Amino acid sequence: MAEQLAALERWMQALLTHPDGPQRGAETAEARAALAVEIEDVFLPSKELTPAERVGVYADMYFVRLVEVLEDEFPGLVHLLGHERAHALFQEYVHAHPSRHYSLNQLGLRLEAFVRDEAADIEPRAFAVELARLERAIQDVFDAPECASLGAEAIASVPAERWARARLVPIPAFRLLAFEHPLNAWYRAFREEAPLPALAREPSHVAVFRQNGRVWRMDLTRAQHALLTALAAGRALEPALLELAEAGHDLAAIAPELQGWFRTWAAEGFFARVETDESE
Amino acid sequence: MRANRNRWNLPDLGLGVGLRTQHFGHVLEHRPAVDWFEIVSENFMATGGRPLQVLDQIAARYPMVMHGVSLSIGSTDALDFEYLRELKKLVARCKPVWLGDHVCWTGVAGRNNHDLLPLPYDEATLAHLVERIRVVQDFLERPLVLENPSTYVTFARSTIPEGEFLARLAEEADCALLLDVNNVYVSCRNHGWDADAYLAAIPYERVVQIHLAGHTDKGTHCIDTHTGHTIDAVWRLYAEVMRRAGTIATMVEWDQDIPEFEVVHAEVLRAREFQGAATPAAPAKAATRG
Repeated sequence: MAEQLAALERWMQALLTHPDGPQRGAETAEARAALAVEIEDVFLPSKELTPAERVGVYADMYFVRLVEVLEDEFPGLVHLLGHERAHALFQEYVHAHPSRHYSLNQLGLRLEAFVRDEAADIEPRAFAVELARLERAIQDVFDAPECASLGAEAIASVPAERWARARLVPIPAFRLLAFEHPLNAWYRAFREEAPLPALAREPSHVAVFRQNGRVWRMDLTRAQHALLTALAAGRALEPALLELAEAGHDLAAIAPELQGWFRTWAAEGFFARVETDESE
Repeated sequence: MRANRNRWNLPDLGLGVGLRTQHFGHVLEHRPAVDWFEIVSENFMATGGRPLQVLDQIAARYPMVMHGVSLSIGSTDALDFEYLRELKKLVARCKPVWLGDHVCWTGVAGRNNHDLLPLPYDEATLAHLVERIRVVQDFLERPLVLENPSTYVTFARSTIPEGEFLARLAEEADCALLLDVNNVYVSCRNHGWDADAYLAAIPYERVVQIHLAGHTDKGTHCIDTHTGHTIDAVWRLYAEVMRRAGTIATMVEWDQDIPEFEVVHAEVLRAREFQGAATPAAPAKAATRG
């Protein structure tokens, strides 16, 4: 008997989630494979509505609800593409990548890849891809697990002789992003309803992190981004700096800045802990 | 009038409000004199940020109830134990007086449509639900409080009236019920059912909570949008429930065009007008934590 219910649910799902409505959904191979029936065979009419109209209530709400979630998560993308195109994009995305998780926070996980690889008629595509990445990172950081961050004093207390081999572990609510466009400048202007900068190609680097329950963005230099990326990958400070040198960064120019960088990063709560040989 | 004595002796918490993000600041700052709060469980799962911090503070001051939307108890997919483990973690953190979900399914074949989808009411569905509810209750080590959903279709294969189906479900699975009086109204309007007959079939000794809400009347059908004030016809049904059952923990859901907190709170306080001489089942302070 449960098999009949399983077939009914699969058939209904095919109807309710078809972008052209339940009638078209009922004609799909997915629906036919579940149940070879007509809508009128399954649902009764009401005094005012036909069976197809009644099941259409669910179908109408399906895309509205999920597109609204994506509009809330990607407001910059909506602004960039215009409401009509963004709405269509989100509906295409939901159809191509339906939710498989109980949390709606996970719905937009694949949007960046969809904009890059699958969506048609996205202009300017390269910028839209990066904007989707930034807005998804903001959601990820908002939802990341709780973790106390290390104060500047704790970092300052690491003995100088241990610094070279010290590993700074970032908090879970921390993401490093590298862009080909000035994403954070554009996004800041968008959020502040200020004039938007031109979409010129100009590399930029951003840290997205959570402190005291709020999500923040910080512009980084290329060298700062490279150093934090190496640290986040588990490198100790000395090997991380050697990696920077191998990548062409000028260590002589960086060295005098390091103390200030770490003071700022610690004050912003970037790190969860410092691992030194002693602490292992 | 008589006091409702539910099967588990769960307390009448009084008049509560659904906790929504828009009201976090108000609740934290003003500590309104609300009897209790209900949360949507999933809003505090798969997240580790501010919502949980706020929840900790509010749960330390008010009795809490957890109300989920993704258990998908009617799905024919295997039960999602990853979801249930996360739910149990939230129970340990929030310490709700009870927790529940809906008599519905939300997806199949691994998908989640994030909607409360209807089930045909027949013996096969009943058996399927009973088996799964028992497994979930064993896992969570507490009774589930399951709500009647608003529905927009009826199935040709249904053989059991909804009220009777809920009564048998609660009895055979030994679970509790959340009676959403607005959903009773909406479903009865949509399907031409007799609301009085529906309410007469409900086993009130298993009802531990009542929902009220506004809805959208499209003329040809009603949609459970949780927007606007509870209409008079729903209040009349609520009064009838009070007459039959005695007072039961009652809260208002408001999820679209959410107004100021005081408006939502005032809405649920209106319930007093319709409780008449119904007597409380158990002192509300029984559920209050220090």
